[in-house]
Amino acid sequence: MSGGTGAAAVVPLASRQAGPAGDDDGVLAERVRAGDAAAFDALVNRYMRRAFAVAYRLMGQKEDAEDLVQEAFMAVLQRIGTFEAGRPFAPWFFRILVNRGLNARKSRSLRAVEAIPEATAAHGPSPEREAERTELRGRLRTAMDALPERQRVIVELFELEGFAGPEIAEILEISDATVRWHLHEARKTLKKALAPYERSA
Amino acid sequence: MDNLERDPRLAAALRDTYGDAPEIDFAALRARVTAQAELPLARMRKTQPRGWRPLRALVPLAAAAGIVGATLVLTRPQEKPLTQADHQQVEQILEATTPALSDLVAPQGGSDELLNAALGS
Repeated sequence: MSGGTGAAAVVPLASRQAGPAGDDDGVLAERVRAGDAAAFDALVNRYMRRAFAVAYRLMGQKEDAEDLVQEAFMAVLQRIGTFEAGRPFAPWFFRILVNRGLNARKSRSLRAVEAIPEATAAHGPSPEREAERTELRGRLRTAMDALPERQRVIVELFELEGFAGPEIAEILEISDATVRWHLHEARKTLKKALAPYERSA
Repeated sequence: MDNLERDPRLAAALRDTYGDAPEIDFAALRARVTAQAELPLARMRKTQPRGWRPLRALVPLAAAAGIVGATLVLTRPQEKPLTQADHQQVEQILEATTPALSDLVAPQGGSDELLNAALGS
């Protein structure tokens, strides 16, 4: 389970703007604007893994995440006319994905954590240790659920998906300072929830 | 610019809780997405200007300008060249309305006669 999409996720967006043998995102986006199917496919291939990882964080279910990725790419086609040439494609694309994901989550009253299965529960530590870990996971989930949605998304994108602060700022259309502040507040809350386990660890 | 540092312990705890996104059949997802995109992309190609097509927008304007120009040319009064009869008619009119040169020259009598003539005496 681990290492699949997660390993790819820590590559910063900036380094993905041009593939080794491919056009950069801006050129591809311009070609998509002209209806070029090959350019669209190249963008899909370049971003679908990371898009799925983010979608999965937001939706909590594999099928919902796949649907969200598909919707986001279709939205790219609908809105490609509004994409400003010369601007980076990735934050623009992930903004579409995250906004759609948040709306879908709201409308379905879904919390991502509800559907995500226990991650690594079957790995053989002692029953005591396992019980402690289960409790820790429960506390962390409760704390994450209690976070304001924006803070939660920032934690997911920064700590789990490897997005940089400025990238998150661009995706969420807020300032770097606001990202920092939300992250600081979220960490404070989460660390408070984890404090008993930090001491025992 | 990004001097935000990740918190490895928090990240590990979150990863332990939520796990990574599962592996899926990305080839199938890609095929689904590109298949669904075929129609919108075809529409975009159809509406996309190519070659002289950017000038299409100017066609109605050019047509309107052409119609206006043609109307002006067709309705403009024609200037026909003067015929010999016209020339004769003009000369007759000039002769009838222009005083003889001798009338314009001062009479021999001198300035007194001119003054008297002017005063009507």
